[in-house]
Amino acid sequence: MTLRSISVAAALTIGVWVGWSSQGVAQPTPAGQSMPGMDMSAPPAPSSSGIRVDLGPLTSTTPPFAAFMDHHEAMYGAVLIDQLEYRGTGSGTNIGAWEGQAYYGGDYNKFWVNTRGEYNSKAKSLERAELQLLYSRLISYFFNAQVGVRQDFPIRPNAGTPARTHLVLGIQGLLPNLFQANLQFFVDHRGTVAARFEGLYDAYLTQRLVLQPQVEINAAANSDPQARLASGFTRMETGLRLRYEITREFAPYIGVQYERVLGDTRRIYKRNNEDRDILSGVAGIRLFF
Amino acid sequence: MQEKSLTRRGALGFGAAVAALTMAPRSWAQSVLSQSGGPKVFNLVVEHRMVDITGTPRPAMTVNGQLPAPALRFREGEEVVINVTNNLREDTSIHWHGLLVPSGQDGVPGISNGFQGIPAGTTHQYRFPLKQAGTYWYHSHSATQEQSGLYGPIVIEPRRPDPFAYDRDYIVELSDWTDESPNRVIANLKRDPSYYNYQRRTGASLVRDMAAAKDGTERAALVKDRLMWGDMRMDPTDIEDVTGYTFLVNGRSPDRNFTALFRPGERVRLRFINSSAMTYQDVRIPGLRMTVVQADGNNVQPVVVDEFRIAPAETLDVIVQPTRDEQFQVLGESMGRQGFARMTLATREGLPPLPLPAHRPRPLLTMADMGMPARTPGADRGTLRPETDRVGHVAPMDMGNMDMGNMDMGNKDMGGMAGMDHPMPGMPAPAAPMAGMDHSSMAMPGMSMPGMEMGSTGGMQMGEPIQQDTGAPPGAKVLSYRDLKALNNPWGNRQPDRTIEVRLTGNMERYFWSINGNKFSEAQPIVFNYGERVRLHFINETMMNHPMHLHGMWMVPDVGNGAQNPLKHVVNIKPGSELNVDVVADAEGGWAFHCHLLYHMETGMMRKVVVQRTSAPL
Repeated sequence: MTLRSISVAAALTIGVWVGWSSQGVAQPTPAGQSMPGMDMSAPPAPSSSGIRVDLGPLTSTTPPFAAFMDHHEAMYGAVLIDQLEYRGTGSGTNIGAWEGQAYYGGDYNKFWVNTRGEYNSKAKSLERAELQLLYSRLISYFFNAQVGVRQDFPIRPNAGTPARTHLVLGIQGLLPNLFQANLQFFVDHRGTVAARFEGLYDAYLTQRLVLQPQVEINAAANSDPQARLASGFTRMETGLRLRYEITREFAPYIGVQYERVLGDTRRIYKRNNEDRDILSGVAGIRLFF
Repeated sequence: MQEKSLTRRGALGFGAAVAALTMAPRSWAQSVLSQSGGPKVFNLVVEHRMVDITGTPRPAMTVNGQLPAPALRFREGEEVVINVTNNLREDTSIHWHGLLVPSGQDGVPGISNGFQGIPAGTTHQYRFPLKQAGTYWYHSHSATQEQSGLYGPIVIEPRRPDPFAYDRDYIVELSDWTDESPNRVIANLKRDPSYYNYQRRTGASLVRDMAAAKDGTERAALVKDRLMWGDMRMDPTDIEDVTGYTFLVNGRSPDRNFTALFRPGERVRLRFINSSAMTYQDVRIPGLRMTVVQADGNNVQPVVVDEFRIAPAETLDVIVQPTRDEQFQVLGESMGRQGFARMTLATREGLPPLPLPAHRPRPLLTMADMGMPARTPGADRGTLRPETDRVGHVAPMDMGNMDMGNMDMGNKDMGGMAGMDHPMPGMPAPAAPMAGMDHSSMAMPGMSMPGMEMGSTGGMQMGEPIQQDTGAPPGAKVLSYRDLKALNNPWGNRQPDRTIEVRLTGNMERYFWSINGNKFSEAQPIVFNYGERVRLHFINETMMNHPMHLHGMWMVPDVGNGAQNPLKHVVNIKPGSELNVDVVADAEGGWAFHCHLLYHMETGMMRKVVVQRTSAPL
């Protein structure tokens, strides 16, 4: 039941993403390649070596495959469902959760999708669900800058999960010592500003057994009463998952997950008699295609 | 069926063009037709076939139903016509690797003059004279078809006999086969460059190493080393990008052991061709020494070696003389130790093969592989318009955090170290002595010796530029480019007219590769002026080897042998090292210039080189 809902949600997400990206990506022309108005029959241009050469028919400054390959670099895509799991808290509330990403594009420019959400088996409904559609651009050897939108889906609009659309500005990549990091800033239509940092590390204990510590911290600059968020640090999550890579594509795991509501947000949660600390055991599967 | 034709052709080993006529199944009985009076005509048919290399039939691409493609035997001085019929469902092309042919006959779609590939269902006619002799090969230059099986040997008989004698002649074509589709391999590398690496450093290996460490100092060094690599976000076990390969000799896996026959006392010529898409092979024949007589089709002063490392796309001819009635194993061990290519030299067929030896230890990348050779700001890149690196092509090198023994690499003031050519404390020493180098060449103005350069920008040359460490036992002679002395170098040791900087760059994390910070799809051509002698100053800023191949013209690496520097079509550039390679631009037209690791080329490490006449005097 739980898994099916999740997979439906995931399929929906991917569907949206595929539909969007299949419209094609107009590659921006890299600077200095073919300048508008450049006349190829112009007098011989000085080469960077200072030697004057004829711009004969063999030579142009456009890439040689420009005509042949329609000027498009090769595109690649991937889907990583890092978490697709069952969380048991011992208090009867069992959660199904997913967190994943997908991208499609060239080496510099990509369409990028992030999605995450939770399903509550007791309430028989989603707890929260989020989808990000981003444009991702390589800005250095190890980092992408990302910009786009984040949609929080309305689940209980009056009880903490209203519909919210945020602009997203983020940076994502690899920190020294191979820590994977993702820092995102969000602004919604009323000017509410929030931030989220995610970090994780894949510690290969053996060639296939991987221990993955993970942490996430959320903060907000303004309060959002409908979403039951106060300004300051709002929520943190940390987890430790041990997966076995049967293949790179398919890796079941077990682990623990701890969530804590922070700061003034914690007071709001307390007022509403909601869980502020959730410790759960998790079991799931990591998918990578 | 397929296996049968492979077996028969393989067993012949030499004179395979004749074999094509006499032994071939019907599908390619027509492959060679002689026309009286006219040029020799060859017919090659490219098609999809299922092959069974590993026990599972997999889709492959074959020429005349064969994998590898049939051996082409030419004679120096003759003209040949080759009709290539494309029965694939996609475009194809055939490139004559190492052959000096007119640009329009070179077979690279979009680069060779007027050639855009051979569309599916059509026949393309190549026609060219043979201006050289030796061992070469041919392969598809379209997408990743080479990995699927479109490669085969070429032997060109010399007009005058070779200056060495031999009684038997075998082609030994090494290759790497994967059951995966090549497109899948690229997709896997793109989404995870470590996808194929199951030899990573792990927690378990750290525990093992710590337990084996002799004292606290060693243990501290182990931890420091791990931290240093982590700090750089690099992987010292990244020796081979792709694994899962089965290594073939003439299309035969080690299990289907190819056997070459000899009579005791005979001199046997082995023509090694590395047709691997991605694999460096360390070759040895336990019990036999090899006399190297030819490299990349050009005869060299004979040199006796125990083993050699052959880069993808290189060829090397050796002569062995087994004197006893004994079985010998010709072993190619992949650089990353993932497997063996194997064939047998024996006096009769059908002997059970000798057991394969244990693998040598896997190499690890070292500090020497991340040297930071000097760059010259504003150096000539050979492009018509100024060109700059694109973002993400050069790894940040934060040397401040590296512990380098007594060396403080964080010190940016390197001025006082100019001229230093000694190994750094705590670093592996160069494996080869510098004594054999031609020091007279140093007197020439503007001449720079590889391995002795210091840049004003603070870059440091640390990598030993030529000698490869194959893990050979002490005392074993391993071939180095320094041992290659051309018997005929027509260009001597003249000074270059121009130096072009060729930095090998790329992003190991995103798996794209480039030359001078520009991928092929976004790069301008490099322009040589017809007749000039160009010095390509290679600087490898990546942590992998790159076998660099220039079409249409010889490359003459400066290995220290002056006027006897060898002529090559592939020059390997080691990680973190630099090397000067001269080219006399004597062939007009468009030429491909690329790394011959297939997936490096395919993801960007390639340029078009244009040789054209200048309008103004130089």
